[in-house]
Amino acid sequence: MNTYFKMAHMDEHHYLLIIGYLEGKISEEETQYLLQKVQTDKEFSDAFEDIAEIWSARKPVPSNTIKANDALNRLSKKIDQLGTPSNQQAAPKPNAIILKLRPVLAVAASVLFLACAFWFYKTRISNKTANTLAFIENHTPPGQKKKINLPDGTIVTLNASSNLHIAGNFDDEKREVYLDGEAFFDVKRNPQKPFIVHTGKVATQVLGTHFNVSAYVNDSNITVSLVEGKVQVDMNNDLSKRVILDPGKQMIYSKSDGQARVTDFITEDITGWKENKLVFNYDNWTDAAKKLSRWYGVPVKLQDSTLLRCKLKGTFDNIPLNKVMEQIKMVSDISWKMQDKAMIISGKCN
Amino acid sequence: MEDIELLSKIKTDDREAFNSLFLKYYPLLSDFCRFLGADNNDGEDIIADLFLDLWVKRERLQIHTSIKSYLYGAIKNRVYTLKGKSQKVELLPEEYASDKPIGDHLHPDEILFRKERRLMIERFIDELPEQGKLIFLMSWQHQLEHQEIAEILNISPNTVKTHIYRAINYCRKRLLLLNN
Repeated sequence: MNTYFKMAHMDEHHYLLIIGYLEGKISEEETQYLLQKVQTDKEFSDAFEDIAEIWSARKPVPSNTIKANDALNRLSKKIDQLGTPSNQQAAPKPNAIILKLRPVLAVAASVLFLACAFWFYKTRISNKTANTLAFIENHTPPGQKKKINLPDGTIVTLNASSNLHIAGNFDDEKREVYLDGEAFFDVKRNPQKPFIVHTGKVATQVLGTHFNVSAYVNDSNITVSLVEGKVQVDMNNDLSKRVILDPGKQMIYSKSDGQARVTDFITEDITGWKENKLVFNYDNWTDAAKKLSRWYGVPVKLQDSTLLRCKLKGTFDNIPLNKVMEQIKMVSDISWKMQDKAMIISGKCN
Repeated sequence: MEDIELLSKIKTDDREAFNSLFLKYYPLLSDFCRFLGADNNDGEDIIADLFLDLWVKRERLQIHTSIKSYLYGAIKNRVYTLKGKSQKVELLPEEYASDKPIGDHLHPDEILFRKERRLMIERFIDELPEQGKLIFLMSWQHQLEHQEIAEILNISPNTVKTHIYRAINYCRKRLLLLNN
């Protein structure tokens, strides 16, 4: 009962300040005040932990595009039936055609955009290569990890199936690298030369610190997890969305809706892979299958769509794939088989 | 494209802009209808009717708040009208948590797996009284600003803040009890 009374002292203003912080909506000054208070005021830091936990339980608003498009089609028909009020153009037909073409146009546009982005990226990279021969590319095949020593003394551990490009002018003014995959960074401190990890729309900037970035091109999220120090994460070059992470916090950026959220994490869950531990941290089966595939270098297919709704939690100590699967099978309703050098998983959640 | 640009294009009969606005807000408004207690079919009709009206009245449309607040507010009015409900917002009682017997409706399995705290949090939010839940979900799930929520529900921003504060306090109390 004691805790009850203590809790009652926390006022509305402080609650809203904590929420503001979690939403990235408070000023630098307020952030400083809040960080100070977390360190000195036990009651406040308890509240902070609780609120962060409550806040992080948020799920994204379901965005059912098929349903939305259906609803729009029905609405469009109704509007077309309204006739031609006032000075409207007489033929509603073109609209209907445009409407039908829309998804096609959107796909075409995005393909074009991707192609342009890729071309731009290529030329940029190759220009740099041309200018400086120091351009380095590192790659790890499935099932293998690699330690890379950068010229500035930074150590990067690259997880399986990952690519790390090191910018040609690395260490001139900034230290910039481009990551596709997962890596743990132990960055040598140098306040004069910020270290920046580019992963698609997310750029993570640090001065010197330990952190993990998971950004596989075909994964649904980009996750930046801070072990020590401080990092600043920018999305889409939009400064209003900037997130500054404290140790023990991670930012999860969803590529589908462009939203980011900050949650707590347990270090072993995130960096376990460096110690050869295969960790599933409430991964959904889609991501888990990709993880298995990268870890063991075997294509993994999911046969039942019901699996997509399940989440997997567990740690495996560098054991063979069949043992991992047998252990998962013991606690869940799945079965698996090897077929044409690929693994096929079927079953359902329990 | 920004809402304001979309709106000015809609006013000049641009159907593409209208379609973009619809697709942008449909998922949010459909979720919002659910918060308000409208079933799926009612929700869909209400959203379609609202946009139909918006298109018909596009030339004389006067929006004094943001389009987002306007759409949410109009949806709320329509759902309330449909349900024949009063629009009064009641505050969550200060001691809401202690009024309820705790733990009696937990399934033994849920107690066993109480580490699934995430699910428990969702459940606690679900236990909040209607208005408190609505305001909390608008802030937490839909990330609407306090000012926007106030405009939509026609209440003061301070009332919004108090609701959010009390909702969180309630969840915290429930979480604490889970630990003990």
